[in-house]
Amino acid sequence: MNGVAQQITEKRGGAMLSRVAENLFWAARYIERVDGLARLMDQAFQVEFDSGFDDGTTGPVESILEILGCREQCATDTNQAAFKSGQDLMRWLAFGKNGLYSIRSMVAAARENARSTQEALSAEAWNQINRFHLSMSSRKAEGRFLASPVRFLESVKRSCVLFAGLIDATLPRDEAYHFVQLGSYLERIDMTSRILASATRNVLIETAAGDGTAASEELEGLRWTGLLKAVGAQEAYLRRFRGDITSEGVLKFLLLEHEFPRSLRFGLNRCLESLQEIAGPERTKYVSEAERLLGRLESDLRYLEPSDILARGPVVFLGEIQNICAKVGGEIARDCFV
Amino acid sequence: MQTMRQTSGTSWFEGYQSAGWDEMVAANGSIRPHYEEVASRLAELTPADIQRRHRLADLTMRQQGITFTVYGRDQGVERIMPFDPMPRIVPADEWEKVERGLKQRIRALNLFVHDVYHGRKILKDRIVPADLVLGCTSYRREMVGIQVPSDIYIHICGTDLIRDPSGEYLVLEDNGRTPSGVSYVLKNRQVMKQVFAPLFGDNIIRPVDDYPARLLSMLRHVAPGGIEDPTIAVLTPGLYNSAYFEHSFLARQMGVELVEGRDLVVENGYVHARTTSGLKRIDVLYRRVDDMFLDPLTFNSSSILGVPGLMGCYRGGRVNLANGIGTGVADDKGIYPFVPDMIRYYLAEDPILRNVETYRPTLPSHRQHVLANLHKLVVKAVDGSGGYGMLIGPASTAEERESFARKIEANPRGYVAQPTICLSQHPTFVDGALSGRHVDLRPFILYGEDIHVLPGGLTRVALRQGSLVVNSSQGGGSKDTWVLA
Repeated sequence: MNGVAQQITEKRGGAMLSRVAENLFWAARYIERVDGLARLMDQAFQVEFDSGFDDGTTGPVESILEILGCREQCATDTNQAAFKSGQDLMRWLAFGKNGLYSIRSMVAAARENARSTQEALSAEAWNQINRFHLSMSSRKAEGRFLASPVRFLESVKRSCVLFAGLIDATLPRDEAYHFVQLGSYLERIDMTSRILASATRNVLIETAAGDGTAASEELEGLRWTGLLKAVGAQEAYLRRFRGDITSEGVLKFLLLEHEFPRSLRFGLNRCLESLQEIAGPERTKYVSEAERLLGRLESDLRYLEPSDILARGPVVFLGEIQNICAKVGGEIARDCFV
Repeated sequence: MQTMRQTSGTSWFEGYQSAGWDEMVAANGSIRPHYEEVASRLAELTPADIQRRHRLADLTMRQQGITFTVYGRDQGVERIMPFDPMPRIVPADEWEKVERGLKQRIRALNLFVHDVYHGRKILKDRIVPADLVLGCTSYRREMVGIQVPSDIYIHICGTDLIRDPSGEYLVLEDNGRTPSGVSYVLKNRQVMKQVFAPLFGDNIIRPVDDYPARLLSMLRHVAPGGIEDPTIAVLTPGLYNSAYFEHSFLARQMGVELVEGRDLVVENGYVHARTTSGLKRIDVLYRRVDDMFLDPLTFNSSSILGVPGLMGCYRGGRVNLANGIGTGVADDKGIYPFVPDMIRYYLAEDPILRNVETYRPTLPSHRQHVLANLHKLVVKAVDGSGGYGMLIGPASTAEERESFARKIEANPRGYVAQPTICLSQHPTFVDGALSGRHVDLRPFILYGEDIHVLPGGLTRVALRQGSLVVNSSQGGGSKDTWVLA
């Protein structure tokens, strides 16, 4: 049977199917968004524990709806009048059926995207995403959530990280890998900028309403601490700034820091790297608009000081970043997916 | 009917009933020699062990996404094919004969397809009735006179075998279009090794996991002439096809792209895939899309699964398809009774594997016999598949028989009839105990540079007692199949 031996020829050229690239990109985005959402929910739970569930319907859970832009969908789905506590909202965020906003529906979407690209993923990465989906879609999942939301969210985060880890450990650094990276980091940039914008807006409102007393300063400190926890940056921040939590420090760390894997600039650099790898060493392709947009933002972040951002108005600045993310998503789709 | 007992350990065979040909238990109640090793290993396991491992096997399959989709009310449900851990074992000498018989058959079938679309010698010599072939629903006029590489049409064949009460292997049907199930053969073996390792004992079993490599090698061999390093792809109808897992699995195992019709485009007479860096030429498609959906310009114009212009590339020899177009004339149920004659005609050999005796109502004497014995026969529509359009005589009502009799009289060419055969049975785990269930066997044959028969194949098992229907869509399960070295 010399036929088996002769077929050991290498596959040349990095081109992959556009449809597969698109599915990988979206599978990665959904998983990253689930990770972000789980972290936000986890943090919201901690805050509610501290303050009790007695302050009506507003609070950290509501701000998650604002960050995800799904307040309306949530209101129609859950018949807002019936809300007794943030618990109902949390449950909707975990298991809601309509729209791609809940953990369950986004994991299902990630899995559906991955299912049609199994041959481009490694078997281990596919198994992980499939198992994740099976555990989220089972009826037992709601029981586990009610028994301990925090442990439930912990396991969600772990599943996301495991997927990322398996991608890292089992995929060759070819186009498939870079489309996954692009999806993950673009989503992370988008998510971080939304979270940051929401927190900044709240701080601004509170500062305006506050009286400059120690109490209102304490509240601001709590806001920033919560934000750092929600993006998984608290410990790294504390080590870097030795416990001093200020708005300038937080902006510097989450926007401008180039070594911290959850900062905007770090994510931008990864996106740029992947875009360049996808374009290939010969750069036969036009240096894409996506690359130009991200590159310009990266150089902005490289040379800006936190005070510049505060002077420009952080909410406006973060809004621009979200616009850029949306544009980049569109550009990638136009260049690679059609 | 016999009952028998086992002497030491768990007595799995207490109260076990054998009927027809039992693969494992001989008529006198003894374990057949090639199953002795497994029987003694099995005696060391308790029903609780087996159930725990059985659950683990199901979980493994579900987690790996080894599922097929069953469409029900509002959304598809993904199911695993039930897996029975009791392996079916085929001794080396028995397999040797099956293998020779299958190779002989695929050679004859390919010569037949080529003949039908070229000289039609077999029709002119009146070995096979011409009206039967040319009136067959899967005859493709578009294929007349077209040259395909190495004159191979059926590259992959899944031939269904059954065993009669004397233990003889008979061919029930040939699947020469897009046979499926091979992924279960490979996965069943993997899961068996992972979860039921103790059952293997000292048996030396012929491996199956080189199938994807052999499939790839075959596909490369049949690339259009003059291509140094052909690009292969698997063409799937998409995510919602019930065999999608298999398409994806084979693509992954071969390291080739899995494409859908919408990923392909014909440009300058060649088939290309749309990739992130432009169009890339494809030379051979292992297509799992039916003939009629391949090219909306030539066949079903409402198909969205196909590639407009594909047929033109195929006719021009600028792309090859496996299997070829129009192979359905060879595995049509109306043509099936003539396969032994084809073997004699083309190869001047006697058929090694026999057909199931088949009556053709077109012949007046057969028609008379069929109509008089409907209660004993199985009647099949020649263009039906998957258990549709079938009458199982012994299980039918008088009205059903009456309606089939009218259909046969109106369209004698549309039906064939066979005696109801008691399929062989095999010990199978049911509710923690072993019980006999009917099985069949689908070996897979590859025809490229040479002919390769995958040792074993897919053993399907009817999990309902007494049921003769082994189709997976009808609740059938599967078993690992061991061919001893």
